[in-house]
Amino acid sequence: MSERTDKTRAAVREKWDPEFEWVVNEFIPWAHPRKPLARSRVGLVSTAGVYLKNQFHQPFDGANPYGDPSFREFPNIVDIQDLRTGHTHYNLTYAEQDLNVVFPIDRMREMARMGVIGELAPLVYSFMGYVTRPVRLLADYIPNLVERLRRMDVDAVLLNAV
Amino acid sequence: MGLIARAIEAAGIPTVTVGVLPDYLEMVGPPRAVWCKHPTGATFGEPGNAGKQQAILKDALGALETMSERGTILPLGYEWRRS
Repeated sequence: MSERTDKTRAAVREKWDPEFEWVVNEFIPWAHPRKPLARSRVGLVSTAGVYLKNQFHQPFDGANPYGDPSFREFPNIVDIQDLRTGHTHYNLTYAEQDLNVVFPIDRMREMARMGVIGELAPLVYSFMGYVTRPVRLLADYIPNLVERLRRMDVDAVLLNAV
Repeated sequence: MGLIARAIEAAGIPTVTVGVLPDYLEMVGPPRAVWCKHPTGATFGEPGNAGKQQAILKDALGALETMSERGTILPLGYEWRRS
């Protein structure tokens, strides 16, 4: 905990959820890489609140004071022009100019073309990131995401914490 | 985000998390984390700076092969280039 995390907690309690508390983790899990990176299938998960425009996806529920624990799924060939972000808890100025600064889908495809990674996983994901009551996130959405990643047989995952 | 990274890692899949606030990363405890001195909402740097975005991704992905201690939080040294 820092002065900044204390301030954020106070601000969230005042504006959104009076009972908000950080989830503090004690044990940190660890998995060893199974393959060299250059032969790995790598997943992408961002908490930037990205979704498909033109009513292909339901936008995230940014107005909900408890946040939105759900995620959106995209094919890895998705055109960045078809995406937008509806996050209500960070400054969208930069993401609106170039979504790669929070959801680096173009750059991850380049990592695959350059041979840094073997390939980008066929499906990539975005959460909204702001969740003050994480029960459904933990009990429902995260296990669902993990199952999808396992079914795609990903070797590693890159996450962006917005 | 820490919760998501930890659950994926616990399922046997290595993760690396890219962030901008080291104190937040320390609190949420992802297995491997890297961070840059960038504003919130611009994790991978200035809009349109594809070269820097690539460099950060290479460093972050490289951490999957080089980091050996759980809970490592590595500063990457990139600085924000715009006012």
